[in-house]
Amino acid sequence: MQIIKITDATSIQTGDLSESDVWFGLLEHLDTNNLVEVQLRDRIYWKLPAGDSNNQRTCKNRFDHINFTLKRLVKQHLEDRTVLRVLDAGCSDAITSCEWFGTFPENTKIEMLACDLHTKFEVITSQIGEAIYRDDGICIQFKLRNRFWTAPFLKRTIKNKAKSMLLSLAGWTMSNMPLLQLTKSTVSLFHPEALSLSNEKNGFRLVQKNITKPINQEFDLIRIMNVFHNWHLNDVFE
Amino acid sequence: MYLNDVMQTVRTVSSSLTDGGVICIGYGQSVGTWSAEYGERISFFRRSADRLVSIEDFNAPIKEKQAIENLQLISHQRL
Repeated sequence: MQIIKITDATSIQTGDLSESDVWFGLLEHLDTNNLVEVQLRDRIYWKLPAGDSNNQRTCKNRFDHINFTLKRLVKQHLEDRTVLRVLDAGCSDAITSCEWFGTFPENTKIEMLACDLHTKFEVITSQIGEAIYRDDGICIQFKLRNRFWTAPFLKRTIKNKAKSMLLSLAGWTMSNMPLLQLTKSTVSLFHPEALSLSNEKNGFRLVQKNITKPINQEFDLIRIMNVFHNWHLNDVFE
Repeated sequence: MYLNDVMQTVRTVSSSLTDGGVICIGYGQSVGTWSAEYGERISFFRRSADRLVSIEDFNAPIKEKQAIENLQLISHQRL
């Protein structure tokens, strides 16, 4: 595989990306109104760690066949409800939630909540480098000048655990080094189309939620897809 | 341990369902194959009182006997 370090939008190339090729901080600078840059954003998002042993991997039209079945089941079982409260649990960047939202009958009021465990990351920048932290406080990348290191996905080996610890240590050291000027910025991991929809429609909300914990709300329809990987659950329950 | 976690999570999520509400569950590896696009098992349940009643299955290759048995276990348990 050809390794190309992608650090700016002009580095778009067609080969398969490895997570070590992609500087996730690029997500912060992409123009969400530019179709090519949104496509690059989708490819980068695909490589983001979803847990300690899995990456996000979602895309448009992924659940079309399921939406088709759900549309029929709604007609069959829930047609009498004038308001449908819907939960899309573990929605990744919610692009598939947007698609699902558009499949309901027009005369039904939809209140959809789309949630995921990881919905944003923080980029800490200093004169010497940058560190990217996931919203659970895990350092997933560290950049020094034009080189960067990515936390390994599979942390089951001692070598990979050591790598992750070193990365966290580098991030922590930079963040606590005196005399360094630090700037912090937050990057939403929700898809630009999902964010637009949530701004336009009152019935579509995006939230961070751990679905292994009780949700104090009631729903008429719940979709929970691809959450039950054993590694993923192990990460959440550990 | 993994199956316990699955059952616990399904029960936790399902406890938010209204009576008559529908839940769509997609399974990952160990109880099914890798994911939806590669033939993951997807099952649809309806909540009736304190139980989940199976209403439909999707992509259920016969080789995934274990997955089917696990789902049946869930649908026979009280939420």
